[in-house]
Amino acid sequence: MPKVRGDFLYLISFLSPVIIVFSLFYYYPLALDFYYSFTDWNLLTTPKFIGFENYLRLFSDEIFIKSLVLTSVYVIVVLLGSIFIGLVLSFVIDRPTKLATLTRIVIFIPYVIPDVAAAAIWSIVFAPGPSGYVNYLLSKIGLGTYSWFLDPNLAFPMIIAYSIWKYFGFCTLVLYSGIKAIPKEYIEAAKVDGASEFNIFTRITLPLLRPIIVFVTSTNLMSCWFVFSSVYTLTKGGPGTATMVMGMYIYEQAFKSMKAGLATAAAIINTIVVLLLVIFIHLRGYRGGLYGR
Amino acid sequence: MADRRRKIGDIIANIIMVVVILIVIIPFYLLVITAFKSFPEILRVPPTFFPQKFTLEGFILIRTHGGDVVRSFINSLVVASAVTLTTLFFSSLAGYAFAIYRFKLKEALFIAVLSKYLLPQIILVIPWYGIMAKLGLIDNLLGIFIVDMIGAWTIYYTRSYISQIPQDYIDAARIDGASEPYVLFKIIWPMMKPAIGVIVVMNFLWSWNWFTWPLILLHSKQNFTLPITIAFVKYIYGGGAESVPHWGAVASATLIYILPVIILYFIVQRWFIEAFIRTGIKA
Repeated sequence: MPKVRGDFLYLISFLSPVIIVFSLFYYYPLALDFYYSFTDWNLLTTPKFIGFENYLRLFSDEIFIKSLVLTSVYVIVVLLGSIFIGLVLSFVIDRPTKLATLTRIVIFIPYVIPDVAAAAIWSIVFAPGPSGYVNYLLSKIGLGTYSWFLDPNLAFPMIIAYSIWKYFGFCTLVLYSGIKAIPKEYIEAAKVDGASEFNIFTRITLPLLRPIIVFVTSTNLMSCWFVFSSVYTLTKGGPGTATMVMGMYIYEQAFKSMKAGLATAAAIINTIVVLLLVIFIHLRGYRGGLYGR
Repeated sequence: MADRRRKIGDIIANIIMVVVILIVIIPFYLLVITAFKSFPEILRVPPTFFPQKFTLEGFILIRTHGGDVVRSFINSLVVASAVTLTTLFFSSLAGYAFAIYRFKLKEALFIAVLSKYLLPQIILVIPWYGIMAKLGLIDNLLGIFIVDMIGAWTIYYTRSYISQIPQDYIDAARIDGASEPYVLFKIIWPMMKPAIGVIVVMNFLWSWNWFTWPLILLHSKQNFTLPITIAFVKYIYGGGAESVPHWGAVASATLIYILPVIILYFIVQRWFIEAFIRTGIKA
């Protein structure tokens, strides 16, 4: 590679837009976050410094604790659920038929369409009352009708089901591309040695897919942890606080209760937790794998 | 024996695939039929699985009552196009610099750009709101645009693409006396046409889908982008039955919203999935 050909000016002018925009809208706000988290601030007035009070207040806030629990359950079930379904399906679609090609195209649609649209579709399909489509089918086989997203006991499982519907196609195709990359010789050799399908899967395929699974988990961890658009459209965190996941909690605190200082403290705590989790998953996930680094 | 087992395996696989396709497709079918039903028919028990009478009631409602979907559609289109254009321009400048030039702090700067993805959106929107209040951009589409005008992914993508272009092309042009902007826009850009396609589609979709920040920044209906209007259409109540959302209006608005996405998906489907999987990131 050649050095900058004396025209340092070009380098500066090519990079300065990025440096300006990123400092102004990503790194400066991040610095502000740390400051705001130590203040009492309602978004519009001058922030008042109050030390660690926001952080202390959070851990005595029942809803914050509940939100942490809900978010953890949500993340674990959605990620594990989509990866499990993805693993099964990636084997199912690994065949040269037209149906398999069609499946590959169709399962990606929920992932591509906007969150708000997918959520709107679910609220239509699971409309409460006897005129709802799913309710009608259920009552027909004698299972009764439900309020789905309006039912305090059902709303949270429904959000989880929705998210798996939205994500499983992505997981499937990522894992499928991983399976495609495994050299056929490995499987053939194992078959010649008389290994069972199950053994081939657990001893060869799964370990080789490990880096891919780590990739899926870590790239989706952040967006799952702070899930917001779909929850806002489907339940707004309700009924009551039944679906008050972290993204919803922070939004409500900042923009509804106008406790922006408290909200930034919550956002910082959660960001640190997620980043530690991502680092942990990477360290554990890649170690010892066949592609071990 | 092994043959029979494989046959059973094939049958089970086919059944699974059909079930999965139905689970994905049926909700879309229900969306379409709901969009064309009249409100009394939507409330009917038992529900109809094909509209008895096609109406455009929902579409008319979202044009007149609470939130004009056409206006929101144009807002979304303007913001997404502007974001796509500026990202394409500024990110390829940066991508070119990262790919071709050698300078101090290059790697550090590149990592700083990509680290954007370590920050969740919700941690940024709170200080953004304060900044926009100071700039007087609350309830202004410009506030959506300026925070999103350069994309980190696009920088990463153009950098890797330009790195693959043989250095000789660039050197030859330089020897002929071409300036750096000429090299980038007249020599490299024509060579990266497929990459530009990917960049345009991805950035457009991300902006088209963006919900959180527009929801927070925009307050008045005439400024809403499409996803915000969709989220509020639910609260346009149908005649007679109070508190029952007019699902026909919701369905029509949603249909208008996803139609460009679905069409785009089927046109560019070949590389689309691959591009999405490689990034693994959704705005």
